[in-house]
Amino acid sequence: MKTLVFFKQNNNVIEIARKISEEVKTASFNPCSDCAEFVPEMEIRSFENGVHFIEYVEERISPDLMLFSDETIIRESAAFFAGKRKLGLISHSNNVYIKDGKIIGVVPGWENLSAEVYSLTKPVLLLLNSNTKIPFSVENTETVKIGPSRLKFKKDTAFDKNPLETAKVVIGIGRGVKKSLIPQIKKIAEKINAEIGCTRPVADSGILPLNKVIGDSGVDIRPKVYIALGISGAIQHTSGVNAQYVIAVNSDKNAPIFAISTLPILGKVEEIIPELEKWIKNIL
Amino acid sequence: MKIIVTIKVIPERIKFNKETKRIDRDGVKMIINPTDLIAAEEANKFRNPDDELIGISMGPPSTAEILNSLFKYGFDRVYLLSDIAFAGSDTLATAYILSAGIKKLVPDFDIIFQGDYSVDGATGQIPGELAAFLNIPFLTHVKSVNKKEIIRKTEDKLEYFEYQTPILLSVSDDANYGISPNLFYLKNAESKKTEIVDSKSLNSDISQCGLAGSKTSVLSVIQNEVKISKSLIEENGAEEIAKLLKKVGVI
Repeated sequence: MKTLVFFKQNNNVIEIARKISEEVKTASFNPCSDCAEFVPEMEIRSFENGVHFIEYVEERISPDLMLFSDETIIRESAAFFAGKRKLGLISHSNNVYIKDGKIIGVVPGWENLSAEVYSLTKPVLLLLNSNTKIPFSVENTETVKIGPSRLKFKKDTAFDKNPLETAKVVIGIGRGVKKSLIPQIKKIAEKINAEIGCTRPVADSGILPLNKVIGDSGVDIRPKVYIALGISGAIQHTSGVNAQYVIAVNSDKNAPIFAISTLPILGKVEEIIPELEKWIKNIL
Repeated sequence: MKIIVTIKVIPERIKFNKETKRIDRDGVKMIINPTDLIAAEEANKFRNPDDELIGISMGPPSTAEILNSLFKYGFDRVYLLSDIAFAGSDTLATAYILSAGIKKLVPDFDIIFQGDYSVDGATGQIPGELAAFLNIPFLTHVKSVNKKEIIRKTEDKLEYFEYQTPILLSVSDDANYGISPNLFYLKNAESKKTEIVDSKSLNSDISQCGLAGSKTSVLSVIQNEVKISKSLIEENGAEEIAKLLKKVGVI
């Protein structure tokens, strides 16, 4: 099987491609000289340039599988390419494998379930969650000329990062936390210099703003300590958590969050929090 | 100007049916997808008083009543594309049906606003696929748009673009807090109704709709494996937390 991989920064999709494919070809949206076998002559900012680039490389390689790293410009270009060619596109999978002779993308769903999704068209297009860079270089790189775009990129600026992204300590709030407890949790957060984040359902219900969501369609965090309160640990949430220590408080002994916890505590958040406040006060 | 906002009606609580491999919608309260309301607010900020704001949705006829609430926010027209032939659509088929609706009902549109993703499906593929069917430029993760430029957020930058209409924009979920009912529009809201449009009146190609038009399929639904190898701490939890925080230098 021949796999063609597209990425901008997060090239760990190459590793995943190699697990299921004998032949892997690489293409980057960045014009770096040795990071991929195909690169554009300039950085791709508009979907239209991205689609031209994808079309050119796809024609050169004729892949069975096109694996796209789930980054903004890559995702945009892949979606337009799929629409233009009327090809199936398997969305934000967190794993890919072969089963019953089909290329399967594992798409996380709800209630700790995942769907095994396959495409009815060829080549198979699959967007894969990706968040890391691996050391990788190639010997020969072809620079691809880029056509015109109807969107004119003017400039870019850095933006203030969400404080959750750089916090050393994060307290995560899940549906298992009563709303009335939040002021007390905020007090603790202030004392231990922690940022507060939450799961998507908590933000959707208006308890905390959307920019506090950790995980898929939210922020990826890399703190030293993550304190997960009343969070069951759905994959959509934990995919965005990369912490050295995970402290989890949950009253459900089967909560998936315990599988990734350094300190798994079975208990009610409303009972632990007042106690914790006292302990912290004593130590400080 | 003619401004379109695409709207999805979704269940308030998501219940997955393992047998049908789809989200169960029976007996569940239905709401307007919250990220679509964020897109609607961006559209409302963008519009001039004489611009026309048009809502387009796809779904069963029962959602028409929920869509009627859009008139409170200042929508001038709302269409619900509804046909048994549309059932079971994946993102590609949905994008095709929306494009057929837009071409038929608002062919002279200037700008389309969408949510970046829907809270129930969260694939985020519709903006790109719909733009492809309409062959117009598009941008996702849009933070703001004015008559001159679009600002959008990528993983690490804010990007500024010049643009021409027609264009499709999907709005970032942190762009604003979502539209609120407007007193000015409330007085006429009651008299307006969502118009239901079927496949025949759209002249849509049935082979591109619903299950027939879908290019992805679900092989099976699997339970995510959870292996809890550590024994759980059942007593003195708070003390254990405090100890660990002290050990790692947090307190």
